[in-house]
Amino acid sequence: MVSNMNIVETEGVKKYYPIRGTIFSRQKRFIKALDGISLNIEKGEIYSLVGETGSGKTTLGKILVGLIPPTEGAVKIDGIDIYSLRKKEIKQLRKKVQMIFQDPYESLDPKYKVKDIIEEPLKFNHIEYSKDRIIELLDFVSLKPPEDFINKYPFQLSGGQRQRVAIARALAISPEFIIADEPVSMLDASIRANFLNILKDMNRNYNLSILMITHDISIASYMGKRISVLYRGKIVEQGSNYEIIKNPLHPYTIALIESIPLIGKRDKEVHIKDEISSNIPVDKGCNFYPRCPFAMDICKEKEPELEVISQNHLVSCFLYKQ
Amino acid sequence: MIEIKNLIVKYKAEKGFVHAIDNINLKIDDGVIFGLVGESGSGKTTLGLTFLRILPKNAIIKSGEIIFSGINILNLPENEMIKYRGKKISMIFQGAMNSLNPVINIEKQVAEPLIYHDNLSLDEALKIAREKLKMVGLPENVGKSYPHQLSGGMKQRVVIAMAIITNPEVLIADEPTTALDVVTQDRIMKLIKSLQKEYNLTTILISHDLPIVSEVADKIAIMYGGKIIEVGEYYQILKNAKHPYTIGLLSSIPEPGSTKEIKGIPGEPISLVNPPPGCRLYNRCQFASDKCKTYDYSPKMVEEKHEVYCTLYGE
Amino acid sequence: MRNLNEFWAKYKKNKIGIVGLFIIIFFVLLSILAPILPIPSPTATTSQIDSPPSLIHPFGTNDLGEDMLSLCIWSIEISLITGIFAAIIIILIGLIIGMISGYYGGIIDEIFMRITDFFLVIPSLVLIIVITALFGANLFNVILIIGLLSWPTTARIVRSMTLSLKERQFIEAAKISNVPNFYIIFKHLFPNVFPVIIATGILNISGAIFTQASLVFLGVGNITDLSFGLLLHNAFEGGDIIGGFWWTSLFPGLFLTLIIIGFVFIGRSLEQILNPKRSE
Repeated sequence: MVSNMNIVETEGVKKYYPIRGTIFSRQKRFIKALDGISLNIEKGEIYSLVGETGSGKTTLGKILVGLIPPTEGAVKIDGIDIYSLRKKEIKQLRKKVQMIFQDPYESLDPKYKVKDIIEEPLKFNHIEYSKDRIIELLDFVSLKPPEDFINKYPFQLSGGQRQRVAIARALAISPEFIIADEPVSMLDASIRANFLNILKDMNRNYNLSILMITHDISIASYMGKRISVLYRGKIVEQGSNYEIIKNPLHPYTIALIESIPLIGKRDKEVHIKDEISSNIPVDKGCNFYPRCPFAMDICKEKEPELEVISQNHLVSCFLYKQ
Repeated sequence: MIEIKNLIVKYKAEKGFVHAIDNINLKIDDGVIFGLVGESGSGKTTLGLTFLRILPKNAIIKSGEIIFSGINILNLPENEMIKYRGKKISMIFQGAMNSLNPVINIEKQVAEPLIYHDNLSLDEALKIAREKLKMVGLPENVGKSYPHQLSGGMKQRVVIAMAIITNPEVLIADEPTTALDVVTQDRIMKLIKSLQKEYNLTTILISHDLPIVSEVADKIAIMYGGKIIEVGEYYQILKNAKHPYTIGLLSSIPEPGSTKEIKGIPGEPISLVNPPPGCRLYNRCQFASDKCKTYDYSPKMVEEKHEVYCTLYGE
Repeated sequence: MRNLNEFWAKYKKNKIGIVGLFIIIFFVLLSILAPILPIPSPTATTSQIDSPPSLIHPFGTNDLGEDMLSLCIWSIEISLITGIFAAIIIILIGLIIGMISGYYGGIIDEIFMRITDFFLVIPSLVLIIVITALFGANLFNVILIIGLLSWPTTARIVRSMTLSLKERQFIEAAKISNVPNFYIIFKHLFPNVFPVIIATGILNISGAIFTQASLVFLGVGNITDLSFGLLLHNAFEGGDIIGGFWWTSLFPGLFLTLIIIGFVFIGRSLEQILNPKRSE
């Protein structure tokens, strides 16, 4: 088999949740959490996925790690379609992919000691290990001295410390790919940097591929070589870090970048219309139409597709349709 | 003007007392947006609650004064304090947008305080409520809607409308934009700024997010370990920060498009249960020296209107 | 709770819990020490029938001349045994059905929940009468029946907790670590569910004690064993209450009530301490 240069490939991944109608209505309506996601993550790359709450970013993370199956579409890890595998093979594949969750207070079992938390993936993936490995991992995530932390329970640790235990757990089985779902949004600002730098080190020194899921485009830019911007289940713009930040094209991306609070820049102007109400599914036309300051008639009628603008830049918007 | 003098607030915990606010002094001018920035455990939320005297049962206001229009409100009897709380001084709590009553429509909820406290008739109260909803930038039909029909940003505006319905002199906003997406955060901050401009509303903006606060605040105070560690005009703090913690905070902010490595501050904050004497950043500070261990938190003026609490700037 | 010391420190502060604990310890000791206490044998009939409380018979005597105090002390045993063993059955069945139902969901959940509903609507009194008629009215059967009819509520509570626990991130993390389902149930769900179920279990003890006493009072169940239900039954049937012999029903009733209250107090205070809503 030809060695794949991508660790992750998704093609047209959709996740629809049916909305149960009344007994009398026959029409099936869906919440389209993800509506056709196609992206590739190269081996050894940090890839950032930017989206706000409700964009579907967490759902995508769970699909990639095998927790929930997509309604449609293929997900390939290292060239293998994970949802076409049998249980045994899925288990093998799990060894390659791990996840770090957002909430440091929820992702560790309160009844487990730190040592047990880190041992668990080693045990259940039948990987031989010694106590030194645990010490090594704790040391790597700067929980020093490691011996002090081995027998602690989560409630004895701060948010930042718990999140480091979460990284240590994710790294224990030496995966090839880690999905980090908003790993720092619940941490204090002064601790975030350290955490993000640990991930960057892992990427640099061990060629670890990382999908960085975040709502913060500054963090997305700090971490990722390439960025995808997700809005209501669709990728609206995709490209290199440089292109997305310096040359944003989609009105949503432009609004995101304009909104970044920059030290020293007051009275910034953000070009976006207010949300009318909470998530009404838009039945036809572009998802962003209700909020788009540049909306045209066609945007109400048809859905735009992701199109190539340049080598490192794709956008899904009629403003740029050739 | 509001003046906080030598305020000490402690919480009784199982193993002793948590020194949440440990002898702080602040002056807040009228009509100013005053940013109070601190991370978890810094004491900033406690300060907000102390203003309105709505601290939890295990909290003790050990000593100190909060002087508001010449009166120390910490000494007021409860029946006098009621005239201030929610009337002259109003507060928006963290996550308040999720505590809206799901079964009462928006304009009625906003009008409620006027009906019950000020004995206005339903019609009079609704009229004022609709005015306030307009003031916070909400379209007319929102009044008859219910909370679940509104987005997070809109709910937060409703909360702000409820807070300003009594035409307070001071608004305390504790993390008003957490859990909102960046675009909405910008909107809410602009709303707060416009309220200040049009109504001379003194605003105390409490947040862990320095960049957001820096957008609208006129003055910024940084809190750490229950203490104020730096105070100044916003541009002084942002361009000329002096305290190692403030500098560390500023260096933790990633700048999009830049390849500069962000630094952050190593280590963890110390426990505030029986904290050791001296500077509380000692265990994390790259400039720490012996004299920090006996530092008494006396302020040093580094430029006009800019104070820092650190041994680096003279004895 | 982290460890026993911290738990005890918290429990000590709960006045109701301490009262409950004292009550139960008191009755347990009474029951254990019964053989060596300076009281007459409970079945020793005397000629002093139906006599009111006095120095010799602090709780009076019944229509056979038996000492009421002694009868009461010796009846404690049945209540305790019934309560504890019935509660064990309830907890075991409730845990297993609740966790499996909640965790796997789907058709297993549907089937288990329908079974639970079925057991909920069974008229327990009727069933007990039938079962004891068919299989004999001994203590073992009664405990078994009470246990088998009372588990549904516990199962429902366990299922609720499981439903919310299984969505939590540490469970997802375990799945990603390739932990098999039954391990997740026993090593992650169970330890988090168990503390709350202990509180419910203690409350179940009091329920079981009350149920057994009621059954015997009505003349059903293990009417040959000495129990508070039997004493009350005899008092009522023998016309003691009409006849003004209040001591043959007051004291058994009092003991029974105290034991039930004791367990309720302990159960309630455990609920308060282990309440998952309380933040750490």
